[in-house]
Amino acid sequence: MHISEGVLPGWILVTGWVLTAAGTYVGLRKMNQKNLPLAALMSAVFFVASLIHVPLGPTSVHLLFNGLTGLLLGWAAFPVLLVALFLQAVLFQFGGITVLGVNTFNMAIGGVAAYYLCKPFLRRNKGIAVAGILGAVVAVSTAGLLVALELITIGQEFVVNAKLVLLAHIPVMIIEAIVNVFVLYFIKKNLPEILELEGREK
Amino acid sequence: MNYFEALGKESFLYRLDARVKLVVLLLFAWKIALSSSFGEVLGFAPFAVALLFCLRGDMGQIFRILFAADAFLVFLVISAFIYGNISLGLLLFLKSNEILIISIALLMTSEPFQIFRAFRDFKLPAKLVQLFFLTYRYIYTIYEEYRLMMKSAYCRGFKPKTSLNTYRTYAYILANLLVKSYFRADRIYKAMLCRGFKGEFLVYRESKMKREDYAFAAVSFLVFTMVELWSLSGQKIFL
Repeated sequence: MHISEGVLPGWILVTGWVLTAAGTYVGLRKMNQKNLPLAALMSAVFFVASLIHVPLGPTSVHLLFNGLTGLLLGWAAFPVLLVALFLQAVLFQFGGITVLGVNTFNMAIGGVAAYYLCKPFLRRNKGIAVAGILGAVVAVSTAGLLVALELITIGQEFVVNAKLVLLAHIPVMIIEAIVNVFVLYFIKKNLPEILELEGREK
Repeated sequence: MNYFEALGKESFLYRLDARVKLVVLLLFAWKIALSSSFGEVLGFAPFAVALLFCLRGDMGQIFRILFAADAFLVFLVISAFIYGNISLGLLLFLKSNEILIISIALLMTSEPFQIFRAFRDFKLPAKLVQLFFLTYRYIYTIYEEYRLMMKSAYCRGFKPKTSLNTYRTYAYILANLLVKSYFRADRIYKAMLCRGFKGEFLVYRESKMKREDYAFAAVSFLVFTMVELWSLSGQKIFL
């Protein structure tokens, strides 16, 4: 969920940018000229994937895929998501320039956590499903929790909004877990090299 | 997703240098975002409205962008109103929309490649700038690929509904996009090497600052200073 411009207090905006800059620095150091085009294409794929609305009962939701980004790219998830979110801000005005640091951190840190938690499972055939589910649960719930906490810092009036944001992330988390498992199975079967991207980055 | 078209192609804002627009946007957006005084935020409103008029774009389209971007904000403002904190709700609404309008007028009137070139001139890390260039270059290619795959899924009788089959279809389409991107990235890298890529994109169109750019920067800084002085001297009226 993109937080709008001009809503959060200054110290959160600045902290968000500092943390995102640090994450992006680490991510860029792990990238080299050879895998830069791949990172860019992944960024474009996740940009397009976030536009897909999957049906859920009478309505539809769009998925975040920050867990999958983290699983495949590790720390490079920071620059990749920063670029994708900046483009969303320019092309659709979702989020904005001052809040971009916070929005990127909200999405990317869960992805990085998912990467470290799920890496051992990815190596084993039977672990793929666990990695997919765990990746979605960790990344989506982190993103939801961070947005909720940030809303509470504006004022006590927004506790209800924070709870609603958390609730809205639950169906997203469930569907994303299902989609993640299928995506990872497909990749493992057809092009397992993608799952070892992070290991070969140096 | 339609191809991105910069707004206000007839207005002078479109012709301005992206670097000037970025600096002015950052200055105003951060100042408004960090402000908690009604007076100061209101002081910046005429500047935002003036930019909107200078844009000379399709107002309907601009308001559609504003409405879509305001969805999350309205959800917060309503909550502030229910809890009786009307001034906080109004302040957030005003701040957010002012930044949005300035951002539409200064960011959406630039071609994305111009913005990335400005990033390069601001000495952002080369790898990050290349990531911006390449990502934007391939978004539409990948979106076309996605549309093609969706079309073939529909031809085979796919109907999206809340079912495992639907989620599996979307997942396989996404996985296919990832697999295709993997091979495409390899081709891109080889093509870059063939053209003598040495870690930097060379730009043949060096942008030079024009008189118009200096004038816009000067007027913006003047407005900024005046609002700051006015809000410092007259804040008591609004407290």
